[in-house]
Amino acid sequence: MGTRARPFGRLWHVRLWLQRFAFLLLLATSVALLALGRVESPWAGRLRAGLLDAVAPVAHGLSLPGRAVTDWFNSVKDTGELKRQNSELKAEIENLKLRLTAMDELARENGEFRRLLGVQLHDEGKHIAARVIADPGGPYVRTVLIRAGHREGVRKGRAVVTAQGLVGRVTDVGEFTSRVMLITDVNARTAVLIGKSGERAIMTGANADLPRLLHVARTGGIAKGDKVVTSGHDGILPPGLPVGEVAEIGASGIRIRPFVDMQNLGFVRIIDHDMPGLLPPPGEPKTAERPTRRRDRYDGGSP
Amino acid sequence: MIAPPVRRERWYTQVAPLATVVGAVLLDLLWIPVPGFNAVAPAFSVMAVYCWAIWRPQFLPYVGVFAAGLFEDLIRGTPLGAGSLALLAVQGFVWAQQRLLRTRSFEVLWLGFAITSLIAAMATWAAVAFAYRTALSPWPGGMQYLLTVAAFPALAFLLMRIERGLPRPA
Repeated sequence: MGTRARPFGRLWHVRLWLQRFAFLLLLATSVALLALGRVESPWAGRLRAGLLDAVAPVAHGLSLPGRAVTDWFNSVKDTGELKRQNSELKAEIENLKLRLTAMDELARENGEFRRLLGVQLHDEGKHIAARVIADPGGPYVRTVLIRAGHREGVRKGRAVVTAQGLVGRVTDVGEFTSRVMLITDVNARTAVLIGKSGERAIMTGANADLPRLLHVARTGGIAKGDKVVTSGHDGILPPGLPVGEVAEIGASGIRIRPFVDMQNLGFVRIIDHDMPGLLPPPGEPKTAERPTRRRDRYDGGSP
Repeated sequence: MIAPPVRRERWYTQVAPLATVVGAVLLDLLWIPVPGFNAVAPAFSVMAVYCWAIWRPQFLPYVGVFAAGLFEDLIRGTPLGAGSLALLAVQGFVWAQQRLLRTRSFEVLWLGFAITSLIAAMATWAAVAFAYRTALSPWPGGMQYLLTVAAFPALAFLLMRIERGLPRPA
């Protein structure tokens, strides 16, 4: 019997040895993954996208109680203001009707001039509405999950906005769920124009409420309160999207306060917009899956 | 020499530790309607790994913890390897301090967790900084650490109830 037990004893020792070294091996694998994370790998992208769809129902379910509380507070807050808003809106509608007539006339004139001069404007693209279902980033990432994916026409790299302004851009796309990297994320880079001076810069997130400006050629003409819009020079985001306003100018640089309240995102819109001459036309497989130096980072082009 | 008979544990006894760790990872998706809270929400997965590594280490394989960490990274969008490194650090620390932590005193368990989760928070910060090649502010991670330690009794109580409901190991 003793001789028969020996092989099993040996196996048990091997198992023990493997268990002891498995820990170190897995730690080393984690470090290797972190080091390799700088290289875009298609399998990681596919895995992330597939997982988004898998966890979307859970995320949606877990967001419901919080959403219900938020909606209830908002409805209570709104009820008090409804009467005042109603009379204000009626007056505004009358004003807007007059302006609309004037704008229709201007648009017609503009179209006529463009036709005469042969000017072609960028296609403004269609908008896809989506609900924010989760904010799972944690302390070092600023992302949200939205309930729209390939099925709705969402593509990687697309700009995400609200009525107030730019929210971020799409980084992972599942079948019916996508991940959006906010402009406040430390990896976000947005090519912007500042104020009346039209100074170009790159805005980068800092995992805080106020992103900062990089590569500003001349800071002299920039003042607190100056509006910041996308410049379109990154070849990814369309130009003219409102981003925020200059909040601080100091020794640590220029900080921007985004127009959008990133803590309270409900619905967003994804702009399905192609930059002519910079990105391949839609339908091509590599449209927004260009290999980058790192998964989430993109350089916004030279300011 | 005859090997002692191996008692087969019930499937749910074997699955419960890892299943609760995965459940804790999914709690990251919970939407709390407090501005800024989701960025510093407690790290439930660290709590779950810590508790099960003390109570039922035989059913919490390293590979399982590694996979749960990767799963967390994929959900959060953090660099792959950061979550697994943090969770493995928790398991490794508990493994090294097993004798001290296998105590009936909740105060010691909590104190042990405060130290363990500090190691996990530092490991996460270092891993993300390494992956991004930039020094990140440690304050959000520090705030998350404090909330994680503060929230530990609630989740530990829940996990304790689950653990007591499982059959005792042979």
